[in-house]
Amino acid sequence: MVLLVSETNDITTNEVVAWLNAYGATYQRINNDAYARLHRVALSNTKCNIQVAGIDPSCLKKVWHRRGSLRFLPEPLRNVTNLYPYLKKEEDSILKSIEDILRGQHDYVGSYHKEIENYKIDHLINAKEADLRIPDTLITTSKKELIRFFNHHEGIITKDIRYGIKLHLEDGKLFSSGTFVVTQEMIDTMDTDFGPTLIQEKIEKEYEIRIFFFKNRLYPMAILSQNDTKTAVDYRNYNREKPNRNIPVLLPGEIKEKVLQFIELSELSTGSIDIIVSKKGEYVFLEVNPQGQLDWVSKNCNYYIEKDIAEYLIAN
Amino acid sequence: MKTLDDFKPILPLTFQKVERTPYDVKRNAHFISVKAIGTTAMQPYNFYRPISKMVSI
Repeated sequence: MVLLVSETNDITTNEVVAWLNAYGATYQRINNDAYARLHRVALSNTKCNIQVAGIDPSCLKKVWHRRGSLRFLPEPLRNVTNLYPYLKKEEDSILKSIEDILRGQHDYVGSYHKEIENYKIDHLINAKEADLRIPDTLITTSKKELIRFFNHHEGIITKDIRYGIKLHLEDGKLFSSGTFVVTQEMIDTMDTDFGPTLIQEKIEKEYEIRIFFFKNRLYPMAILSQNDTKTAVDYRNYNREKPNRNIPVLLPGEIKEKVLQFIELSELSTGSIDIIVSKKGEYVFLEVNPQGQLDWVSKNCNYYIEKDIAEYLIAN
Repeated sequence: MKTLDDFKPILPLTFQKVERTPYDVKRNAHFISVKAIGTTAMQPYNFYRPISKMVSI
């Protein structure tokens, strides 16, 4: 049996399920918004026994962890604002262990913990190790260092180090603006010391590439974002009224090898990598999203990724 | 009480450009216990000690 962990409205999972049905495969899907009863994680000196949501792990052949995670917190506890962060951390520590145990026993593709431990700095280091070009990057709390970096590059950008801003204020919500160009005026308003900030050199791009990968198979898509002022700095500053044109693209063999090496170093089994192709023709690694969306890659490029995933899951 | 704007010079640079969206409906007062900042973002982990190396199913 194949176990799918996902979200109710995840279109990719829905389409993989359609393929699994077409192939007559046996599977069970658990969605992130449903309560999954944790029957037991029972440890003794001789064995470890797990049972979640009535599933016997010994019946599992493969696990595809597409989105979200199992949820062991009964629904009413998820809305208690002051209690929830503590309960969530406790739940997450169980999820981490269960994921590790299942990964040791089964072919487990995808990861909740790779998603929430998705550290940009670690990935940049791995990309560098894989001999991929990365943007000059500085993480600092010092205005002096910020000014030095600013003066050293023709342009710099900033983005969240890990989590996008999502704050509840009295008069409304506050969200990140995504990646944006840092100006002298912004720097002038900053104090001598401030909260940890990530800045990178701004790279003039020819176009961007989104590479979805599943195990060692790469699905690269070019995003022609450079001619739209809204998406010129980063295609994720989406223009929803006039979306960027997205087309399939081939990676040079050398870059493909380096990307595969990066995937190996990062110990990721699936995810989406963002790369810039600079005006000089360099392939510059930006970041990776372990649970990123892939529907648009599949559809824009006619890759039929969902079919490939379903076939992988049911293959011996 | 200090507001978010008061903290801006010492907040990460990403706060120099943020988007504000008003609430669609009036929020229940007890949900807003912190005036300046409250977040629902998932918290990162400091350290793990996975037990998978020690046990088997």
